[in-house]
Amino acid sequence: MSDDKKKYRFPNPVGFAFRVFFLVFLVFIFVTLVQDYIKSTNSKFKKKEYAEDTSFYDSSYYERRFGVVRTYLYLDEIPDDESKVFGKYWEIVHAYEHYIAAKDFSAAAKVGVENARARAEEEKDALLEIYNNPKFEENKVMLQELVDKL
Amino acid sequence: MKCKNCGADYKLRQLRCPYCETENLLGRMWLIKRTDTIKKVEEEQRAAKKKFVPYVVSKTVNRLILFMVVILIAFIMIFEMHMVPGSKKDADGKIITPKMISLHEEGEYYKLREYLDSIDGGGLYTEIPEYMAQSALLAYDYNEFIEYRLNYLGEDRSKWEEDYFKMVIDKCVDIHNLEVGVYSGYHEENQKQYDEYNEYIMAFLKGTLSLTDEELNVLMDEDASYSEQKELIHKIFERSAAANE
Repeated sequence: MSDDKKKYRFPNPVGFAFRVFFLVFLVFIFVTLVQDYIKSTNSKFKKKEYAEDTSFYDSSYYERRFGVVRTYLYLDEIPDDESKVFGKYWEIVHAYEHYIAAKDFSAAAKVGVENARARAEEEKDALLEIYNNPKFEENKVMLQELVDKL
Repeated sequence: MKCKNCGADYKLRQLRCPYCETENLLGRMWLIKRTDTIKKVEEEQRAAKKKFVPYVVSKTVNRLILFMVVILIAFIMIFEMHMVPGSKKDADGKIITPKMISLHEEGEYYKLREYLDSIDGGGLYTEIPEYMAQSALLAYDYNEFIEYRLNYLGEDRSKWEEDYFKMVIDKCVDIHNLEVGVYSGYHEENQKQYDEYNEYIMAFLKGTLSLTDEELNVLMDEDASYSEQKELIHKIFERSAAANE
C-alpha cells in the first residue's frame, strides 16, 4: 500500500477504542478528585438527599425497628440534620440510642459499676429532652412509648 | 535532446550535458515546474486529510488525552492533601489540619473519620498522625458496636441469633483491647475517647449481659484459647436469651 493511501486509512479501531476508554477513565478520575477536594474544603457539602422514596425507612420506622433505620441512615450517608425528609428518622434514632444506653447503664448501676448511675441519669435526661421538645410531631407517639418503657 | 554545445544526445530532464557540462535550460524549467506541481499536490493532500473525519476524530482524542493527563498532574500536585487549607506537618512529618484537631478535641470522632476519608480517600491514613488514624478507626468500630447493640434484642427478631450476638461481643473486645489493625496500641491523645467508649461497653457487658469479672477477663484475654472464649460466648448468649424471654 502506498504512503499516500496509508494516510487516509481509518485509525486502528482497537487502538482507537482503547484511547477513547482511557480518555473516559481520565475524565472520571478528574471528576472524582474535584468532588473529593470540594468535600474536604466545603463543610456544607452534603450528599444529595433522596427526596423521593422513603418507603424503606418508613416500614422500619413504623415497625419500631429503629436500629435498622439507623443502619441505613449511615449506609446511605444521610446527613444528621433537621431536614424535612430524614430529620424525623434521625430524631427517633437518637432518642432510641439514649433509651438503650439508659437501660444499659441502669443495669450496670444495679451491679455496682462505678459512675453507671450518673450516666444512666444523663441518658434519661437526654431522652426526655428530645421527648419534651420534639422537632417532628410524627415522633411524639414513639417517643412516648420509649419514655414509658424506661 | 541534442546539446547545443557538443551535439551529444542526452535526456531532456537532465540539468547539464553529461559530456561538456553545458547547462540545460529546458531541464531546469522542467524541474521548477515539477517542484511547483508536487507542492500543489501535497497542499491539496494536506487539506483533504484535515477534512477526513476519522483522522480528525482520532487526532482530537489524542489531544484530549494529552490535555487530561496534564490537567490531572497539575491538579494532583496543586490540590494534594498537604495543600488542604491550613494544613501543616508535625514533628514526624505527618500532615495535620485545624479541622482534624478541632473535631478530635470536640469529641466528634465519627465526623473526624468522615473528614479524614474525604481528604484521604484510600482510608489508609498513612500521611496523618497515628493517634488521629486510631481515633478515626475506633470511631468506626464504636459506631458499628452501637448499630449491633441497638439491633440486638430489638424489634427485629432475626438479630436475636447467636451469630449476631457474637458480632456484638467481638466488637466490644476489639474496642476494649484497642485492636484497630496497624494503629493498635496506646495513644495518650485518645484516652478520653477510649474511656468514653469503654465505659459504655462495660455497662453493657456487666449490666445488661451480667458478666462477672472472671468472665470478662476470659473474654478480653488475648491469650485465652479460642474454644474457651467460644464456649463462654455461647453461655452468655443462652443466659441473655433466657433473661429476655
